[in-house]
Amino acid sequence: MALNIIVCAKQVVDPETPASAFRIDPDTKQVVPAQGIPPVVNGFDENAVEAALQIKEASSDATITVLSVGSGFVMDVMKKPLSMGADQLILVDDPAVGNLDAFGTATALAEAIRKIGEYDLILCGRQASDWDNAMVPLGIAEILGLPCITIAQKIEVSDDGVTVHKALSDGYEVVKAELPAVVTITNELGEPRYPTLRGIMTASRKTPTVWDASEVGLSHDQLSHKLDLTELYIPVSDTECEFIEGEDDADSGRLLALKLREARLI
Amino acid sequence: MMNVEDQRYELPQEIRMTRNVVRDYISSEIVPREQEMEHDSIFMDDDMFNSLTPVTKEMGLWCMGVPEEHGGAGLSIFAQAVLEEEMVQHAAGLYRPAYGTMGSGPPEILWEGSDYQKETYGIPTVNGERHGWFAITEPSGGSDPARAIQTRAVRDGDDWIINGSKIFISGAPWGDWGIVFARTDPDSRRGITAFIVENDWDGFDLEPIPVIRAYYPAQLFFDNLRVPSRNVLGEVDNGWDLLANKLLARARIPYSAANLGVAVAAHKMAVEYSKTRETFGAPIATRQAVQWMMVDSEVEIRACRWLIWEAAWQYDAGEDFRQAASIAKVFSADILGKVVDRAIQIHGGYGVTKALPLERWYREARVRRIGEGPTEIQKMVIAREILNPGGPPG
Repeated sequence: MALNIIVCAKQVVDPETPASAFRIDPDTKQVVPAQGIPPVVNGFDENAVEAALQIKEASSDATITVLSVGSGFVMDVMKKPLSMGADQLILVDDPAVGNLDAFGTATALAEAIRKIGEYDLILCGRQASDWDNAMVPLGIAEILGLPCITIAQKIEVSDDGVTVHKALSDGYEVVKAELPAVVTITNELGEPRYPTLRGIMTASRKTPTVWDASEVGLSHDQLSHKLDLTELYIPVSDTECEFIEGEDDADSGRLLALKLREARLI
Repeated sequence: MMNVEDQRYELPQEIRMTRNVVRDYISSEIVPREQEMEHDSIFMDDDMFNSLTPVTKEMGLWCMGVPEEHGGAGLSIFAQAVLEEEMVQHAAGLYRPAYGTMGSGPPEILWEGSDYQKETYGIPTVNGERHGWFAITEPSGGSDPARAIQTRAVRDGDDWIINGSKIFISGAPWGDWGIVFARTDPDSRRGITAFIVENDWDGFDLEPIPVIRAYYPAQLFFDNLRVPSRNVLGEVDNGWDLLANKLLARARIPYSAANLGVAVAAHKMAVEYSKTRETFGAPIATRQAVQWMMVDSEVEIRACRWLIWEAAWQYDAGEDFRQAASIAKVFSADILGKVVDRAIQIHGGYGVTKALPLERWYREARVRRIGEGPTEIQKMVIAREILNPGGPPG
């Protein structure tokens, strides 16, 4: 069956950035990108790309469009899903959408999806590693009036719709929805594949479609923050190390247990 | 009118993206596994190795220097240099990049051989079923092979009989075939021929040589080693061209890129550590003495990268790259030692523990000013070209 899959992908600060290189600007309440450490595609979004590729491999006639909203895109990074096997990349690249809250991001993505027009399945990562809100996919579904299934560890598409194994803390539940639908993907789906050399050569020759905010029909009001971030800071934690010394190992263990109970840790 | 904007030098996007993939592969697959291994490991266990090779084959990065028609990625030497810098950034990286999980092709000159030689030795080596090595250096020397090669090969009917010895041969203890350069014309300095031999043939013996690094070389002994004519690589008495021009000079480029990569890895460790280690109430990164060490390393690393890239560009363009390759080799081997030494100094006592890769790199780095043509020989090549540009090689 012909299937149009849209994968929403976000460019984020590399979560592997060493703590010593991590900086924030408390005035603008933004993270300052570390010099020399390129951003990455959000890890869960790569899982979503992997899910899309698996669906495409199972149904020969699928097209995968990767969609992102933001500004200051690094093309080597954003083309990674193409090098994994996605078909096309659409970027809403505009300073006006560079620092949105979750509502604004969901609005911008939903409007871009409307502009794309044809879609059967919208896949997102379960959350983004920068703010960990996990709100945008639900927002997209709400705005577009679509069902949304979150935290998929397995996903299959058939003529009847989409069947998802939704991860729970003690197992999974099977949820079905008609298409079109929004599904968020978790890392339990499996490691995203590495790009191939052939895929990289193909991706490097592809030119992404770039829209600005006005082309997508986004107004200033739609993008205004509904959430106020009042303060952004790096928590300071002090560590103290205390050696518990008893007469022998068993005594040390007993004293350690007492200490932990005193601290209400056990 | 020259336009400055047109003169921006940057890597092609496909090389940058491939570099990201290799970086990701090393940090996600190799480094975590290596942390569970012994400090001086040179091999990973078979299960681990076999779980990773399908991944690199699928990526298309298996044997990246081997021509595509022989099952490799067929990358330019420039692309290889860029990727090699990433591949080696783990503890064993200098001598076992990615623990061989990205493939190890045969010595490049094997592809100059016959179809029989390619099918018997080349392709199985690309497939990981066989492992090759090459042997030039002898107890009498290695830097001046035209004179030092005393191992003799004498024709006997359709065969050749080899007698002699080779020393400091890397890879031979774990290989099963190799290329031996032997003298076939005793009256000519360059009367040398390349022979393909197998480790389990009668008349072949091997003695490991314990050295400063874990990846030890071997001494080889040939006692009436009988080699069929079909195992002559290239033409009889014409091994010099294969040896000097196609094997040694070319190999200096990826060798230099490996030096650079380990220097980069050590430097990154030093920078990160300096920001977190405090003395007298402030990180040591705030001390000028430490800053200047890191500045020297940064400058040397950046200069080194361009020297290697220049040699690689010249090679890929079919130009005479030998001087540039020697310059890259001299400089990269030198700065590797310096950068690792500074990184150890910045780490203090931890720098020389076996908990970190720095002490391993320190030992291995010392070999790099000797291996693949010592610094002094590289300087002879460079001087010759300075004094007599475009002149004949010595």
